[in-house]
Amino acid sequence: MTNRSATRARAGGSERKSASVLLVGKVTKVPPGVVAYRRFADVPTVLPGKPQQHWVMIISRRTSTDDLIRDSLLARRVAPVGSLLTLDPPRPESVPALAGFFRRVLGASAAHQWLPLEELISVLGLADAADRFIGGTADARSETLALVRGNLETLVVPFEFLEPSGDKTRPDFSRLAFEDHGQTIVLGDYEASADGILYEFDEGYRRRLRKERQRTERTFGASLRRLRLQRGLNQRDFAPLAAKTIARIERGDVDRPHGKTLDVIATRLGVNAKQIESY
Amino acid sequence: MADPIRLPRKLREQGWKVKIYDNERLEPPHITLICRERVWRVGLRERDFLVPPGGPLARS
Repeated sequence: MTNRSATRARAGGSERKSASVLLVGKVTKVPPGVVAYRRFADVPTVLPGKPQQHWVMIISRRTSTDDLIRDSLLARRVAPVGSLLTLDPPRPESVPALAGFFRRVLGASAAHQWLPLEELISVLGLADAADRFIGGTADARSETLALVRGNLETLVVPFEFLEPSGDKTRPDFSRLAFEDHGQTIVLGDYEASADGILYEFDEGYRRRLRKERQRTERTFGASLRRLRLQRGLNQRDFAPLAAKTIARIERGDVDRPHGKTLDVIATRLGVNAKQIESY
Repeated sequence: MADPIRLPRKLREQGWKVKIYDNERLEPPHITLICRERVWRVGLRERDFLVPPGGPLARS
């Protein structure tokens, strides 16, 4: 690993943004940055700080959702937050009413699993929350996983995507769990990384990752591309070399050109051939 | 499938975990280092990060 990579490691990890989490229920310890109320009736009509639709309400007890519906009707008001996460599934009959009060209701299924509460709240406040999974369900009938990302969007993944690993460990979809602050999906003895799943199913994630890798990659091809872009050149500006040749080098299909090819590239870039990889 | 490495108790208590993924279908062999909400994934062949620390959104 280069020193630059090591520096990124020290400075890296996940940055925090301000979380807007409202916890309703009996909680022995309130995590920092969280606003907590014992009952929904105690929640003020207007919450401080961010616009109300950005707040996430987490309810830990099933009976609290019934109180929520009743109190909201009594007060004749719309709930002051955007999304509702229920750690204990509400009564199925109450879910349509809850959906009337919130833009999003998550955790309604009895099969729903979540990260541990402290990790869940922590992830909601991370800048890269969208790239982690805070909970989800496994449905054996449709053979799908519905995974909730830290931005509260749901990603549906077919069971067949999670093939047995090289040591023949098979995923056990009846034992779904979430660990490592949303980085790991556990299926019995089998584990899958959030990055691996997102890379396969989220084109936006792939594009962002590719862009970041191109920016930091240390191969000859990556350096050539960076330098070419810096000079404002196109791939076809390296005559007599074809644009296709430059593209193959930049992609890494060719390890490192040499001889005449390297001379042409270096001359066009206006650098010494040995300097290209330093960019 | 991850192959976890058992760390000394002190590191475990600090929230450190190390997992080797060397038999994945889509991803190259790599090692994942986790400390609570922070994660680093290093390619065993590339000897460089597979995902920039902080994830692709870190600089967006």
